[in-house]
Order: sequence, then structure tokens, then C-alpha cells
Amino acid sequence: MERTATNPSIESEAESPQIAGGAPPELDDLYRRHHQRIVRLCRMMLGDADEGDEAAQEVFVRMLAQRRGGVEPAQWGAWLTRVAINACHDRRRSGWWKWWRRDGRELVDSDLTANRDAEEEAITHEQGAAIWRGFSALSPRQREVFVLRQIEGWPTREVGAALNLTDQAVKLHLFRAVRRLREILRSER
Amino acid sequence: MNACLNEKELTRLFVSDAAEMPAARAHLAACAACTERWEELAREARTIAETIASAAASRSTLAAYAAANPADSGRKNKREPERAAGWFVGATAFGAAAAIAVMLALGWRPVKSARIASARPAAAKAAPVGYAPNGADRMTFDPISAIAYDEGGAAAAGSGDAIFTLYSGGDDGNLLFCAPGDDSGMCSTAPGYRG
Repeated sequence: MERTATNPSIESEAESPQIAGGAPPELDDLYRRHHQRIVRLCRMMLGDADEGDEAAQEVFVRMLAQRRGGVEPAQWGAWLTRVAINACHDRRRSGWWKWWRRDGRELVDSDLTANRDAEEEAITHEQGAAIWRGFSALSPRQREVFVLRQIEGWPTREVGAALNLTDQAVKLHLFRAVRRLREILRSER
Repeated sequence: MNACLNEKELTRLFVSDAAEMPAARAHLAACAACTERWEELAREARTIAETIASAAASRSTLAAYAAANPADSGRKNKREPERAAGWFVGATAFGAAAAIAVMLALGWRPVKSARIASARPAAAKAAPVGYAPNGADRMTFDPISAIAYDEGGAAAAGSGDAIFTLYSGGDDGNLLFCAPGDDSGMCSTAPGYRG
């Protein structure tokens, strides 16, 4: 299966000074390296920009606490991703989130990144909107599996461990998500 | 496996790990048509993933996508009255519960219902002594107002005074409206007396 990791993910952690045997990475460095990916991940998991940003803030607050506690994870990228998944789960479980989620709010423009992939440019605005709508309509589990497998490029076993799912369940969720999203993409063409 | 893979099998292959479905992989390697479809699937999956990732990275894109989704906004608007009604019902229920809690905390008890319960035996006892004017034999007794009614619905004179009515109940069938010891001119044992 092709991997489509478009941002630093678990693999990039191997280049960190800590893994290379050097000093632990600086806080600023960690933030710079992972902030964009974590924010995007949270937004995708929650399907909401504001909520995603707040969840990502929580993640970095926990990172700060972890650094102050003196316990360094083996891989900060994987650790942050796991914390992000848990933060999104917590938010989704809360009744406040459910209420807030229904109360559509206006989004304020503040792009994380300006560079866009050529292939992404090839799809029309309507197609993009339809894909995002279809993605948002997936079940939370399907969204999570799709994000971790297809976008973050995690292997099945890692996804299952992070989401507390069996390998078969991960594949089933991904199968359904891919089928549904492809149907949408094709219907928009 | 000789037959070409259908869409379902192709998607299953796509989500499976490299070591799984060896027969399908062997067919894929040998079949140009399936390879082409496989590549198309991979390309579409990549497009979808990149579209979602780009959208999530850009708040303006998300806003634009939300704006391009009139069905969603319509549904959101339809929910407004329901949500308002829900809030109203919730607030009313909460307010009522809070008011009852405050009243109970301040020592309020459902006095009226207790009085009714305690008055019932006395009323039942008092009812037979009520004087039935106009020759009516049967009377009813309202324990709350302590007014006795005859069958025609007319209130028996003086029966509105609960103290008198209950006090005198059963003691003297003729002495209807007078407290014991009160032998003023208002008291009468004459039938049909109305004060």
C-alpha cells in the first residue's frame, strides 16, 4: 500500500538529535517540527478548525508538562500523535463538544501552510468541498483510521494499538472509508 | 487467481498489508487491466488524502468548503428552533426544580393536602349534621371550604364556617351553627333557620 505521509510523521523522528544520541530536542524545536502536523491532525480528527486548534494546544501543554517532568519519550512525534488522538477522543466524548459542534461557527483565516500540492490543485473547489463533507460524514473511527493510515502513513498495527482496535477492525474501517470517499470523488467528476 | 479483481477485492487489497492476499497480488502483477485500475485507486486515494490534509491545514479552505455546503447550513438552520425549544424546556424544568428545592429548604410543606387528609374524617362525621333546607334529605360536604351542599347545589347556611360545623358535628343534630355555650339570638334550632 502506498504511503501518503505529507508531513513529518513518525519516520522523521529518527533524524532528531535525541535519537541520534545527542541532547534532547529543545522545546522550540519540537514545537516547530510538530505543531503544523498536530494541528492538522486534530482538525481532521474533530472535523473542526477551532476545536482542532484547541485540542492541539492541549497537546503542546501536555508536551510542556512532560518535558518538565523530566521524562523524555523515545519518539516525540509518535508520543505527540498519541496524545493528540487522546485529546480528540476526550473532546469528542464531552457533551460540551457535541453542543459546540452543532453550533456552526465562522472560521477565521489563518492558514498553516501556503504551499499546496499540484494534485490537490487539480481538483475543483466543489470536489474538495464534497470530499471534505464526505470525510466529515464518516464515523469518527473511520476518520481516525483514514487519517493515521492514509495521511500519517502509520502501519496497521500502530493504528490498531493507538486506537485500541484489532488489525482486522482497522482494515475494515479503512476499507469503508476509502470506498465511501472514492464514491464521492467519482460522483463529483 | 485468473479472474480480474472486482472493485471490492481491489479495495480490500489496497487496505491489506503487503503479506496478505498473495493470490490477488500475483494476479495484479500479471494483469495489465487490474494494474491500471489499481493505480487509479491509489491515485484517487492519494488525491483524497491530500485534499483532506490541505483542507485541514487551511482555515480559509475549511471555511470555503463549509460555505459551499448549503445542505449543511440549511440543516443547521432547521435545528435552531428545536434547539431553542430544548433550551426552553430544560430551563423551565431546571427553574421549577430549583424553586421547589428552595421552598423545601425554607420549610415549606404541602400543608393544604395534609389539611384535606386530616379534615376528611371530621368532614365525613360532620356531614350528617348538616341541615338540609327545603326538605332535602342528603347533603354533601366540601372539606376544603367546609361548606355543605344540598342535592340542589345550594350551600347550607353557616356551613362555610368550618369551626362551627366541625365543632358541632354529632353533638346535637338540631344545633347546627352555634358554638357550645353560645345561646345568643343567632342560634336557633328551628328548622329552616338561615341566620
